[in-house]
Amino acid sequence: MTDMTPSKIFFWIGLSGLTHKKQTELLHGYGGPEGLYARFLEEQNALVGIIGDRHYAALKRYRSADYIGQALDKLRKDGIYVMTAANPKYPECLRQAEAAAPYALYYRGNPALLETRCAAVVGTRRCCGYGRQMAEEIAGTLAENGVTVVSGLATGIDGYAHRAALDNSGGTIAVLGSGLNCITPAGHVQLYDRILAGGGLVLSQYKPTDNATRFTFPERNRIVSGLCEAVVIVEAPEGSGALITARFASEQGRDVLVVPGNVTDARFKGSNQLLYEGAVFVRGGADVLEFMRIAPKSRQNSSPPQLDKAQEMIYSLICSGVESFDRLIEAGHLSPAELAAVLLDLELFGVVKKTGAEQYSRSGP
Amino acid sequence: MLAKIDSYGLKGLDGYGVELEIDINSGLPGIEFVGLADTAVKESKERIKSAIKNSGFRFTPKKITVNLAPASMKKEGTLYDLGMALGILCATEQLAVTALAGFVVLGELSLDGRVRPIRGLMPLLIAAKDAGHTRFIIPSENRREASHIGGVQVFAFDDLRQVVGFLHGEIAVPPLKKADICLSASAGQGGDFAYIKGQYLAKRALEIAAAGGHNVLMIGPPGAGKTMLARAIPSILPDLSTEEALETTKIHSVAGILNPEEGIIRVRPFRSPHHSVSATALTGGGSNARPGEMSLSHNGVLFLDELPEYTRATLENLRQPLEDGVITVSRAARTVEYPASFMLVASMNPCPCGYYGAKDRACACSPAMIGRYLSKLSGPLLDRIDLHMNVSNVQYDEIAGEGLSEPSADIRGRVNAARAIQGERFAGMGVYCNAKMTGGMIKTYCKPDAAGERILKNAFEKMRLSARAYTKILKTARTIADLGGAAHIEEAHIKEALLYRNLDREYI
Repeated sequence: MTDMTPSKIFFWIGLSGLTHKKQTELLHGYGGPEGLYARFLEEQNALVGIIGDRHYAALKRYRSADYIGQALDKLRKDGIYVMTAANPKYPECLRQAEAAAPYALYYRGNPALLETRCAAVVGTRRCCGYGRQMAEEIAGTLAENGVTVVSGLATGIDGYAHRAALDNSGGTIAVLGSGLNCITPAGHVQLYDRILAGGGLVLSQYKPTDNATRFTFPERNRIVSGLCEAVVIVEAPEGSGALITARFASEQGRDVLVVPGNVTDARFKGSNQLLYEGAVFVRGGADVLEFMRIAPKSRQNSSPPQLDKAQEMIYSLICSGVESFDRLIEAGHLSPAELAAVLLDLELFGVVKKTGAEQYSRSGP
Repeated sequence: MLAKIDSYGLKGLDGYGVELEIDINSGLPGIEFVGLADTAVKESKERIKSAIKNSGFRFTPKKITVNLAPASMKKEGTLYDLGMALGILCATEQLAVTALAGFVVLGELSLDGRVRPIRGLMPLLIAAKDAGHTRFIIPSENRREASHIGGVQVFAFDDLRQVVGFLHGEIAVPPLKKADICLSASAGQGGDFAYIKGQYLAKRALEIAAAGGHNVLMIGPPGAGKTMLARAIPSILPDLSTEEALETTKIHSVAGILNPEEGIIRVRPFRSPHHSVSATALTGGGSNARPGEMSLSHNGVLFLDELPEYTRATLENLRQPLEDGVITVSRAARTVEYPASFMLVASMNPCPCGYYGAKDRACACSPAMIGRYLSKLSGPLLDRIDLHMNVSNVQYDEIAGEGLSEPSADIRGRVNAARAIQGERFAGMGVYCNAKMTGGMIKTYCKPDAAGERILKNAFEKMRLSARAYTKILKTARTIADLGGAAHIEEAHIKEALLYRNLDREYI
């Protein structure tokens, strides 16, 4: 009894699978976590009345301090930690903005990211090339300038945002709509591992073994917007989950930033509607930074590593907008073999990146 | 009276001796075949009857028995007509049996007695020559094909009467003169690189592919010029050697698509079956096991346009030939092995809509759609393709620009030089080009220098290349080094080779 900290009690309640509403009702009705824990057995009848037999039995089963300690140990061995509302590190922005902030969050990775400035980059799963390009540009610029990119590990925009953040050695947080051990979509297991390997954080309000359902994703979106100062919507058709995130964001007093799309294109109908309703219009990562009042790092200060004459020439051609392989050959008067070598060097130096079919563009150092 | 005539039958690309035995007995008039004759052979009785009559000979109304020995092999085709007609003439004593001794007779007859051409003459002649036969009677229209075989006496005829006249010594027909195999430079038909504007990367990649015999996959939006590039490939392929020309001619002869005016395949074949091609048409087969598109492109190029549109089962058939250079066609009645050592050139769009990664058009595909599209190509198939490169749309001022690009003849010069280096390197190893190197050879011949090793390691980490890319890059780098006349693989060669491994990098 004595070693039952509020943290452990929050964890215990979470094990029951009760909805957030019921958890709140219990905690309020019984004078906080400690009160609830202490009076749990004697108030059986009243409690069964509120939460039903099944949940009561579950809570009773898990109530022993030994069991809770072992459960936490087991998770820790698996690399999963629990951050509860009783933890001083619990993200303040989430607690304040969100009435339904979960009492326990499970995470793997680097929790320090929660204390950094965060912006969400979200959008549709079925994105087009333009959406991808904008997601990558924005997430990359944010990451480069020290803003943590938060998204939902979904396919499409979310995935590209995470990748771009990692590619620019920035922090990124993936908020899952499932338990940490039930990665959805399964195809993103590699990305999940990359996020962890790259010093990112994966986070979920669900027990590690919980599967995603159609209800968990909208719930997850609350956390995404709650963790961030600003939410950038890149591409959202009508009915997209990103619009739910936008709605939560405005409820929580977060700024909603939207990348405009073609107005005749159904794939941008939702995001353009947000713009019409008064969302902030952004043209790229620089606009988002300006909105967040972050001075962008100058790209010039870390000038590219020692370039020889040919590399210098090709680099400046690329900067001036000659971007395709064939164009570079003509403009630079090099043979394909020579140009290939120069481009590969520039790519390895990290000053140029391949953006598409034999297209190259400048990339941030 | 019994007459025996030597003839030859086809089994795959090989011939086997067939002895035609003709006997005349009393009984109901008619011709009876024994010895597993197929329909085409059985139908010949009407042709033979009419041809004999219409050539001014007598057709005896007696029971004629024709045996095709060995009786265990299925005989097919029309090439025994002439032999059987001559046999009947012998059996009816209109022709001396001794006159035919030592001759191998091949040819089809028409009702008026003309001798018509047959398919597969070259492999038959070669097989018969190897078996020790030296004198042949063949249709006149096959004369060019036959004239490339030396060391034999070949007599070509237009009609039955002429044959009999010759055998009786009434007409003098000189044997065919051996024609030299003149292998013209592969020009003309497909188009020349001189007329293809821009596309430097693609052209360079094709040069490398031609030099090393590498398989290529071109990825690009519709209208980028993938097909045009592919059609120009024959113009830069290395010249055929005499052995290669004969091998390829044999296959085309068996397939019956040899041009009678040419009589030999002088340039490397370029085959581009449509994507609705059936698996059998590609591999060869059917009841008579004819060679398929893969064998017809032996020593040449097999071009598959819009690769993902082919059915998966069809594409998987490419795996054995790409590995072994032969295709084994097994049917209930027979198993035939056809050579199928070709350079695979394939093209595809980067995604279902075609514009993924294009600069000037937006792609309308979701990542899942692109993933599904690419998944039509199996890993094992992609494993066998050494170079993949993007072909992008040419800009207006490039199309409209004056002047010509580098002509194919120049490129072919470099390709031939690189092939010569490879020929020397692999002398006596049964390998002719870098693409066919085995694992051990790669270890021996594809060692990059220290700087190259470093760049390779660096690139693998930064570009997240897959493991299968490793040997491919080394092989391609070997060819690039050969093109540059370098003895060792240097840093620059590795760098260029890395450019042609697009699909190994994170694609979506």
